[in-house]
Amino acid sequence: MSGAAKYTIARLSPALLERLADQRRQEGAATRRRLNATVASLLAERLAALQADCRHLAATLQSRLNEGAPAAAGGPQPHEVVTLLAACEGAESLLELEPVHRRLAALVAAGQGPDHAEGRTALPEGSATQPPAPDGWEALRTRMTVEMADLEARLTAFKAEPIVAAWCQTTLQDADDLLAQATSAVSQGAFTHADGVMARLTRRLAAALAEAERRQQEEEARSLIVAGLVQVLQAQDFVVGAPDLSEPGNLDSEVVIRAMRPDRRRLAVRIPVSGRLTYAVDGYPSRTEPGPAGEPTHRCDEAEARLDAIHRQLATDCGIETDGLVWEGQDPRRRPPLGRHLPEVRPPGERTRGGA
Amino acid sequence: MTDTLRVAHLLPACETLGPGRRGVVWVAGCRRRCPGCVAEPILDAAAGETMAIDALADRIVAWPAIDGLTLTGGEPFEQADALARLIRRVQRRRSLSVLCYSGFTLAALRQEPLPGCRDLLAVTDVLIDGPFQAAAQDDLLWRGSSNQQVHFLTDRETAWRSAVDGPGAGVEVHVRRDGSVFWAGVPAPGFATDLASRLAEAADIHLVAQTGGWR
Repeated sequence: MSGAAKYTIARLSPALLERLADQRRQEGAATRRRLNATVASLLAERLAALQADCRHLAATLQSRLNEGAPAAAGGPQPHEVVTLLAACEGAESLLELEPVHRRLAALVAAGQGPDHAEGRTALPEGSATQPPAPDGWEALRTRMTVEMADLEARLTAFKAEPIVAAWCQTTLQDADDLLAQATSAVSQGAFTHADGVMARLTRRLAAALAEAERRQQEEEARSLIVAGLVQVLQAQDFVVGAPDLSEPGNLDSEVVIRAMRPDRRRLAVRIPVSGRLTYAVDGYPSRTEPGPAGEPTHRCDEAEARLDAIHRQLATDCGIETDGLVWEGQDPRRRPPLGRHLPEVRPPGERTRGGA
Repeated sequence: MTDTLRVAHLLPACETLGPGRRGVVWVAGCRRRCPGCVAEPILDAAAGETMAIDALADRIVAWPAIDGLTLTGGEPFEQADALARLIRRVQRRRSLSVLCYSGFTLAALRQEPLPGCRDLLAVTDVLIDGPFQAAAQDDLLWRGSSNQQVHFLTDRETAWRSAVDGPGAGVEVHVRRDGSVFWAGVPAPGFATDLASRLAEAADIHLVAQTGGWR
């Protein structure tokens, strides 16, 4: 029968596959270096911000002491403020700095009276306004808070990584949800639950990177196949249009390569009694793009330019004025006013121009 | 009467097998054996998959941004009754022009050589008829040889009448993420073999034939 179709799988040679895998290994290593650097940078920023807040809190306490505020039980003592400030300046990690910050915040809150005691943060065990927490509770909270900060930084870094952003949108959305759950669990002191959620988040991020690399390698293989096909079709004397995704924006959709003979392009003009010019456009490369509501729309810039040139010539040489081009599947944002009055259903591939 | 079709391939959008942008259904099976036929792998009905007409109609209705539907194969008129019912089910929900290929001539089809031929003709806007004849091979719009005629059975696609004497529409190659490759069009005989050998030589990429369908 006519309309032939063959279904094949393109296999890359072992040498090409090895080259691709090697390239992916190198790019994978670079990706990991970039991710680690981004995480380190984000954590350093967070450490610096927390240190700045510690200094501010210490200055507030020092100012109160200088004003002669009485040293209440559980309230700030001059030597403790100095010690905490020194610990803040010497801290090299969030794990060291978090307890210092929490203690300073608690001291400031205690000095503002009971209404403020829990305003910034829950007080540590032994404070004046809260019963002692179980042994190790505070240390556990510190560890969880720091791990959360690390995960948050990693998630931010993953989102900034092009291949992860391209291939793992759903996973990243899930990761956002898990991070929110973990944050809520830590703030409520539900550490066991938080620990479980954070473990899931860690696994999800690791899987996202592996998935992104696998899909990227698949896409690189497809790009080689497409490039090879374009090259060969050109060698077979076809004019080959730019490869297109069959569903614009969906990387999982098929890549379509359109190849035509050099003499294929043609425009047929039909002038019916109504005086509306109708064109059958054939052989010009066309493109499908998402419209304003995401619907597929068609455009064919080359054919449109050709028709516009014809219309300019009609106006110049014959004094015939025409309106804009209208076709089925046209992006409504590009439709000229007259198009609203034309029948909706036109033969496919036809462009119409009223008023001729 | 059957509620199923033997389908070899489905393509939700194609610009080389009829006017505009069209969905294409390749049915499996053709008892004719025209020398040089480019659809040799799907001439055996066993090459296809049995699909329920309702399910296939649902899929076709959901194909985005197409102007029409092309029926090819295989020999569509060997499954004329089922295809006519498929088209009617689609048309109830979506207006698509229908182009159908056949190795039979229009005159022969009007004699109802197989059950349902008139029914399928009744829902067809454009018929491309006649067997591929290697001796008459030519680069023609939507056809492989000059004996094959384009019949506009309704007014729906007549704007293309003046274009049918022009050269062929070329080929369209689809590449999936897993590396599977499918092409559609009516290129000259030997196109696929030449493509495969050049691809191997120029790019070290090897096309391996698959037994399954593109669906």
